[in-house]
Amino acid sequence: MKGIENFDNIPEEAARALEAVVGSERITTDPVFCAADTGLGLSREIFGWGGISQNAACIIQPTTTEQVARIIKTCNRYNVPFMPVVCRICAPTNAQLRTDIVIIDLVWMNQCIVDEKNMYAIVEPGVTQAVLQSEILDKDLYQFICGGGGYPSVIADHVGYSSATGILNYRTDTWATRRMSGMEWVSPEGEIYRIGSMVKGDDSGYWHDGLGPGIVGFWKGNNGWAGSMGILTKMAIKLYPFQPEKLVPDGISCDTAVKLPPRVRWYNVTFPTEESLEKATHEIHKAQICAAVNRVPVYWREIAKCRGDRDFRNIFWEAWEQETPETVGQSHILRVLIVGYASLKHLEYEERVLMDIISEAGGTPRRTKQTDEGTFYNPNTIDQWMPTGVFGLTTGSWESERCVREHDDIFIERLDKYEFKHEYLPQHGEQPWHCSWAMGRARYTETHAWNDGALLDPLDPLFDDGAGGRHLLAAFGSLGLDIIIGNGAQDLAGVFIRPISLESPAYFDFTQWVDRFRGEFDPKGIAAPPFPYMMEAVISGLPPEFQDEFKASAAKARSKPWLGNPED
Amino acid sequence: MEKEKEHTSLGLNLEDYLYEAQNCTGQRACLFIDLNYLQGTDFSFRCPVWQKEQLSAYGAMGKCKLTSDLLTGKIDFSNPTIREIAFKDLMCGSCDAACKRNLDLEPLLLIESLRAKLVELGYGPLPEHKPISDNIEKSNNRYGQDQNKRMDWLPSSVKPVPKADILYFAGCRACFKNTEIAAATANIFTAAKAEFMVLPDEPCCGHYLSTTGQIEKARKIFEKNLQLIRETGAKTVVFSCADCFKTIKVDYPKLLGFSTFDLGFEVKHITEMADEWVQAGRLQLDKRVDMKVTYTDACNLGRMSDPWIPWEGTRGHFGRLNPPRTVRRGLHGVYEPPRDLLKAIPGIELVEMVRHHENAWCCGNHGGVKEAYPEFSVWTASERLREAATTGAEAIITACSGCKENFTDASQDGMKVYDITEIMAMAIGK
Repeated sequence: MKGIENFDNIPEEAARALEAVVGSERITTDPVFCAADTGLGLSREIFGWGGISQNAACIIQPTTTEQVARIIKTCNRYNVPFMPVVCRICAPTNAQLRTDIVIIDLVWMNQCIVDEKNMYAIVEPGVTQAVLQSEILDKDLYQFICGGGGYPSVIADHVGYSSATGILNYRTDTWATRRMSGMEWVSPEGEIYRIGSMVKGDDSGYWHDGLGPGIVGFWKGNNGWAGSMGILTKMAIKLYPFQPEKLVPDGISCDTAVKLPPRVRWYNVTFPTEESLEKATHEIHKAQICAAVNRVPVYWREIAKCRGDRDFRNIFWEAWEQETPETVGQSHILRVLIVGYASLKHLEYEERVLMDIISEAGGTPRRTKQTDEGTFYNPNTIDQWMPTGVFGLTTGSWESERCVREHDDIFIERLDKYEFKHEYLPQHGEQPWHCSWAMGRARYTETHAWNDGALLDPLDPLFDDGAGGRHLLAAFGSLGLDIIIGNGAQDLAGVFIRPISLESPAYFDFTQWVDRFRGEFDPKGIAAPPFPYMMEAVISGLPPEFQDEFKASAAKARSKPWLGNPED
Repeated sequence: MEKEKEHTSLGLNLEDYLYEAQNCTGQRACLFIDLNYLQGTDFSFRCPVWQKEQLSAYGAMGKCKLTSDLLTGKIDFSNPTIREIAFKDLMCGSCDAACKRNLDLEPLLLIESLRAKLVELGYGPLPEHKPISDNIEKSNNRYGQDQNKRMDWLPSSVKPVPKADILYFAGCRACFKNTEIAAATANIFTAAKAEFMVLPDEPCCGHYLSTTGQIEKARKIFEKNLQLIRETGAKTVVFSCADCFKTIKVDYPKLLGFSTFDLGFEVKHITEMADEWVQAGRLQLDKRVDMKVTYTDACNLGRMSDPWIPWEGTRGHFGRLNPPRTVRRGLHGVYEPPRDLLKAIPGIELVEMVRHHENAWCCGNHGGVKEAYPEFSVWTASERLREAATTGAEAIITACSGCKENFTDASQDGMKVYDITEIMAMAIGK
């Protein structure tokens, strides 16, 4: 029940003090409510077993920044660790590893103020990506939507592990740090700071950091604290001009889409070879056209067919089983989005340039529905992530085109030789998905190898108690970490041992760097631990043989500077 | 590796949903309307009980997690919080349609099974459910009224026939409380020159018992009623009540173990029937009704009314089902006929709310919630009326007597509430 009646997992004094901040209707220590709020999302699937999620001691729901600050001060006073939560999908938002934590549920802090003229929005943590998009599309503005879906918090997405990236980052600033113009931050000790444009108090205009070194990046995942150092209660987000006509929704779930207006157009183009596709992609970048540029892997097409009355899982498998390395090897599809930002003539110009490029590269434009299911609001992603019931072994990387292609090749080669490959969905020679960022100056790529979820589920008859460790090791160890050595691409797995996007050897060892800040701002370790810390704790729970192998991989990766380091 | 998992089936056995319970990704799709339909922060949520209670436990994702904990013994079924979470659910199926936007989990069946399990173990139904349940068992209607008065709604000008292809099943509410709906429906039959019959002693459909988890009691009534209907020889059974419609179309087959297509008769809502008649030129809705209206999709008429198709088999390697299972996603609900009918009436201006079709917000009068949690039930209706008011409509139209009842209870700001049969009756001059 709501209110505080159970003190099994939290000192009564602490609970009473927290209740005094928000009132009895916005706090609970009921173990059932706490159990329902933990162990959700991908934590179970990624890490193979649900045991790492510990039930919280308390859920508290502040409605103002001042309440957040008082809650954090109270947590500090009673040495009770806390964890901010909005969307429950991502591992860092679950109560992993630490027991008896206070979940600070920020869902109901969901104010969104859009400054149309100056093209920015101030959002609270409860505002989700898709909700913000729906608020601003009406005002002829748009923003990126995370590849992981439109459900996460805008703030969490900007500071979290996903780095606030998606295919619309082709035109918008790719890096979250460049889109965060101001923040209201409650430190791990409960002090309120206003940073960037919010320093002025009237929140006017786009100001970013102002004079001095850029500091917004400190909060950003991968090279910051992944949102784990206190709580950001407001963020000013840069928005981008779109076109004026409306995206009109149509259809019934699961067949919904938005109808594209004349100035927004998708093009699907097939190419005879991967090389010709790459050539066209490169030329598109050089011509500085398009709003999104993607390579479409075959499995995407199969997944896209799984709609309507059919059972996704079965339809996908039936289709995928028909594929062979030969059929997969013949598929080279590029999907590009063009937006006539300025006018219809703008669209027509880009269209003509695109057609010239396609023609010169030997490509063929195919018929494409002028609707969009998942780019602008993105309700459509989990099915792509989890066709085997668990989050796949995904290697992702971002860097230059050359670098990520090399990275993908290494991954696929190693996967082919991987001893436990039979535990994964057959690849059929699938090439990675990739999309272009920053008008082609960067590329993001993902290769998926889906593990059999049944092997990881202790309650399943097919459960294999070594599979969890092998999966983890495959994802973040021998297949993941090794491939970044000597390659230089920014690999997803690498975030556990090194900073990403910090282009200096001075910050090479992520954990050391974070330790310094943590010692300064959160000496008691009350705030949620940064993602790398959590990962190391997960590894420490593995059987010794897995631990040794993972540590060996990590040590190898740590010992060598990356390719981009001029001192290498 | 080729070994198949044990047998599993669709039904109301909670143990069959452990997989669903453990494969929720926690992305909260069950809480938001389809993102492609979002129009800003307000009205972006779809789950009334979660929005009211503001805790994950009340959303489908929390119920999945708790079901996993219940089935693995981490939480006991006797826990009173579990009981409240299970019985405060409106059973409106909104989370179910949302979940099937991406995942093929079965949150609604999971919640129905959880209620059934609690009742089986003696932890349900709630005391507040007892009066209506007793009435149904003792008097054959939910109000405990004299069944001899059940047909009092019949207008003197309308004469059902003893034998016809169409059987009109009016339901308890339209017979005893919202009799204007039954009368309007009968007038529509007459205007379309459609002969219809009624059951001589029409019983309660049993919806209340099944939705409150009283499965064994419901099953007995379902068997008896099905026999009664089949004995009439009706080819089509027509309903004006969305609850009765869905119960006989979906829940009878579900609890009795066959497909909707094997009922032995066609099940239609009056809006489907009337829409066909209008299109065929058999029914003229030509009297002017000057009104700006918005239509609210009743849960049981819309997303919950996909035909029931039994399934049993195995879930094996990579979660694959053998044989493949047809997923009830709410695609085949009765969405367009009511809208087509309203658009056909001169003078009616139909405007949509943000949450419509499968994304519709429940009226709050469902799943036994109105009796057990009346304040929450009315709050849910008030939220819908607030949404309706933002469209500028002067009236909210529904096609479910339960919705009409609750909107009427909640309406305080002058928003008129009509059943669609009443509007149609106006349009035919009745």
